[in-house]
Amino acid sequence: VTPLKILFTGMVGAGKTTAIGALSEVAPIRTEAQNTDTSVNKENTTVAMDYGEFTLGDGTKVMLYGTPGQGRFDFMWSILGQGALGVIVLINNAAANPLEDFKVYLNAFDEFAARGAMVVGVGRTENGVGPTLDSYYAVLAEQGRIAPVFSADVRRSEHVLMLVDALISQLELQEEISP
Amino acid sequence: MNAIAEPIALDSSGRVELGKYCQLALERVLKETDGLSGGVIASSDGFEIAAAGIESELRGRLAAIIASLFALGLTAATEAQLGLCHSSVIECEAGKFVVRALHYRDRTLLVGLLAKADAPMGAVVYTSRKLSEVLARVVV
Repeated sequence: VTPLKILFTGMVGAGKTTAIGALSEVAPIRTEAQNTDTSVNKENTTVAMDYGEFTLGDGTKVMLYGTPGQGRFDFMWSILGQGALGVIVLINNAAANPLEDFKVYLNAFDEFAARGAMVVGVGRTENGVGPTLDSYYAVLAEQGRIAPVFSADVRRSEHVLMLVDALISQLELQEEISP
Repeated sequence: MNAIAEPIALDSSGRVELGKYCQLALERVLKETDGLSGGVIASSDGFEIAAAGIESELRGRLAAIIASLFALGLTAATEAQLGLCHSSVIECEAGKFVVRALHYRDRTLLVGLLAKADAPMGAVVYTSRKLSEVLARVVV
């Protein structure tokens, strides 16, 4: 069975490395370096990619790739996007401008959004701070795109699995619509 | 291959400024070494510290690229149980690109050197190591 490749992207601190670590059945591969950017409150940051694997109920292997978040690493976004079936965009809803952040990744991965291969996971929504999920749907509508948007705590593997399941369902739906 | 002399850049308090020191060291090594066309020194998370011989719009991008490149080399070395990674080498049709790491205290500084196609690989690797040793006098 051909393995599936799924990409996780999103801003710095959105939880891409955490999400892959939460779901992966193998020890995740990480490429972290010490963060020297004082505007970002993180000790380490991904500078090339994350990688993990897990297996679907029918035995299909899913390869999980994570991008670096910072725009200066955008060359890795296109490299890692090659051959990916879909993308999960993670958002930190408690960031200063999460909707603007979302637009960056929506535009960068528009190729996926255009063919219905994008799912959005919004984190840190529990305190009621930041935009509503409807605001993200509004951004998608402005761009003429449709994608499911979920509130998700990527530290919880069942939440990450929900995002992956949603993406695979989206892909199966697209397959049925335009085989 | 000429020896790499130690450049000195002091701030107003008499301390060595890392950025200026790196810039001077890089410019000197490019001037004194045949076959090198450019270089960039970056933090391990991809920020430019110094650059020379490279177009200004490419400098920041190359700093990020060498951070990714070296991180992948480091990961490959770890997965293959080869120990700490010191350098990554890319040999291309029109030139060579060597990235060398200087591990100091809890940080890592990356030195990327671009060389012309006819530059001997051994000389480029040797120069990257000598430049790292010059930088180590200040940062270690």
